[in-house]
Amino acid sequence: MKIDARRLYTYPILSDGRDDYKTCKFSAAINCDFNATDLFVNVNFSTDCADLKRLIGAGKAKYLLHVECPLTLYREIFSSADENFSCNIPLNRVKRNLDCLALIVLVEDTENFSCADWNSDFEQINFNLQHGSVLAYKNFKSLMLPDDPNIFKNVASIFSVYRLVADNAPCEVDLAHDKIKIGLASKDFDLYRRYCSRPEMQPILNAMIIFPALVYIFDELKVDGGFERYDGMAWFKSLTAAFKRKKLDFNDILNEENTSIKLAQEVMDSPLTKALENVALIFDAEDS
Amino acid sequence: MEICFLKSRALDTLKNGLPQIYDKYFTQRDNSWLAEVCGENPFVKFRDVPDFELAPLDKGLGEGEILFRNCKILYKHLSFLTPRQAADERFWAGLCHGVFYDYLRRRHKHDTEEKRPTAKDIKTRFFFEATSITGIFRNSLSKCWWTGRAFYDATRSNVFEKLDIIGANDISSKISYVLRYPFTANPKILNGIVKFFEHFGAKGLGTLKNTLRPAMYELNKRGGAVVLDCLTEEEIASIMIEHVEKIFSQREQPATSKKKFFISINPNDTRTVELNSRVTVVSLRDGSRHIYKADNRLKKKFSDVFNELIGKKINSTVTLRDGKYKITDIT
Repeated sequence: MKIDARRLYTYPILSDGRDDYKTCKFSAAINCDFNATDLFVNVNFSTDCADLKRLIGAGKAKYLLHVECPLTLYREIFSSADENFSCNIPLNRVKRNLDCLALIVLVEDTENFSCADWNSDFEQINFNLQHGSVLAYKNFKSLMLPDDPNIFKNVASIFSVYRLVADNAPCEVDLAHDKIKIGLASKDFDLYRRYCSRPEMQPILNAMIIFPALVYIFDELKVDGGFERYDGMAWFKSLTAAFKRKKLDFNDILNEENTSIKLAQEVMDSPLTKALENVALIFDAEDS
Repeated sequence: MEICFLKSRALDTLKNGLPQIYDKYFTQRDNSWLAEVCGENPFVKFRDVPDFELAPLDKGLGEGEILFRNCKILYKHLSFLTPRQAADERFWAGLCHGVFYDYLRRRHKHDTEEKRPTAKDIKTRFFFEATSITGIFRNSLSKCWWTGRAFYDATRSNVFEKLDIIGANDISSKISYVLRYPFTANPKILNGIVKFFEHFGAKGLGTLKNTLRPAMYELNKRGGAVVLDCLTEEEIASIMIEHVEKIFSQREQPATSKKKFFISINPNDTRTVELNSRVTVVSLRDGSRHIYKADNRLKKKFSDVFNELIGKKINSTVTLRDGKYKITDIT
C-alpha cells in the first residue's frame, strides 16, 4: 500500500509533500536484515507534533508499519505505542519485493480532534475521526529481496539460455525479467546443450554467448534511465553484488572511460583469456 | 504422483515460441512434443505426492462446481507449497504441462474441434505470469490453489467452511470481484467478507454484478479514508452489508424502480419448460427480469440453472443463483 500525495483527505494529514501542518514533521526509517528463513524489520518513528504524541500516549493512536507483497498475497500490520519496534516476516511469505508504509493511525474513535499547528485553512475546525483514520504517513521505496532461484533446489544463475523455436533465428537477449534471457536458434541451442556441461567447454561458451550479452547489458545500462529501468530486476542486484565483491563501484558503469567491453571483461574475470587457454588445452591434448 | 516444475529455459522456449507452436496444445493428445521443441526433457522433479484427481469433467458438473471443487482439491493436496513457491511460474507451468496437461486440454475443450484456442488463451491457461495480483488468478490451476488458500481455515472442523459459505454459484465472478483487491490478502478483511456472504446466506445476493461488485467497490472506497486492516471483521462485513441493503431497499421502492416487472399470469396456463424453451423469470426480490434459453449450452455451462428450470410449469417459483424467481413466460 502506498499513499499518493494527491489523495484527498477531509482532515489534515502530516506527511512530506503535504502542507496541512505548518511546522510539524513526521519521519520514519527502516532497517532490514535477514537470515535464511526470516526478514527482520526494525522501524523507527519520529514526530515533533505534540498533539499526535498526546493521542499516542493516551492510547488513542499508534505507530503502525503496513507491509505488503502483492505477488504472494501477503499483507500485515504491526503496531506499537513505542517509537521503535521490530517485526519478523517469514521469507517464504514474500517474493522479490516488500512494500512498506509507516503511519500514525487512530485506534479509537476520536471526537473534536484539532492541532494548533494546522494550516490556516483548518483554523477553528475540529474533526470527529473514526478509528483506522490516518493521521501521518511516510511511504518507503519497496524493499528489494533476494530472489531465491533455489526454492525448488535448482541451479542459480543470472543467465538463462533457452531454445528459440526457429532453426536459423538470430540470437536474442531479453533483459526485462529477473534473469537475463539469451535465446539461441534451435540448432545452436542443441549444440550448446551438448557441450555446456563439459567443464573445459564452459569458458569457451561463456566467451561466445555470455560475454557479448554482458556487453549489450552494460550498453543498455549506460543509456539514459537504464538504471531506473532495470534496478528492480534480480539480475541487476546480482550484478551489483558482483561488482561489490570485486570492490568496484557499480555507478562507475556510467563513467565514459569504462567502456562496456572493458566492464564485461572485468566482471567476468578476463573471459577471452580463459576461453583461449581452454582452446589451447583442448587442441594441445588432441595433438599430443 | 510425481510433481515437476518446468526448467526456466524450457519455459522461455515455449513462451517465446508460442506463436509457432500453440497449435500443438490442441493437436497433441499428450505432452511428448515438449521434449522435441525444447531439445531436452523440460521437467525437473520437485517431489512425490499421493495420487489425486481434479474434479471430473464428464459427470455433468457446471463450470462453477468444477472450479469450486478444484479449489479444495488443489489446496488440500498441495498445501505444502509456500506462497513464494506458489508465486513461481516454473511450478504452475510444470503442473499445467505435466501431470495435468490432458486435464487442462479437456477442461478448456482444446481436445475438440469445437473450441480452438488462440495463442493468448494458451498463455493464460498453461503459463503463469504473476507480475500482479491478477496474474495469480489467471492461470487455470494457480487460481484454484490461491483461492483454496485464501479461504482455508485450519481452526474450523470443516477447513473449507468459508469456501462453502462463499458457495459454488458463479464462483468465478466471486473470485474476480473479491480477490482482485490487494486488501483481501489480509485474512481479517477476508473474514469480514465471508461474514458478509454468511449474512445474506439463504436470502442470496442476487446478481453479483449489482450487489457484490458495488459492495467491494464501497469497501475499496472506504479504504481510501481509513486503513481497512485496522477495522474488525464485523466492521468490514457491516460496511458491505449496509451498502447492499441500501441497494436492495432502493430497488424495492416501486415509485422509483427503473425496471420492475409486475407478475400477472393466467392461472389456466399449463406451459412447461422443455429442452430449448425460452424461459422468462422475474426476481421475487427486486422484480428484475431475466431470460434463459434452456438449451444444451445452458445445460453444459450452468447445469444447476438448467436442472432447476427444466420441467417447471409457468408461475412456478424457482431458486436460481442465490435468488428466488417466478417463471412468467415460456416460449
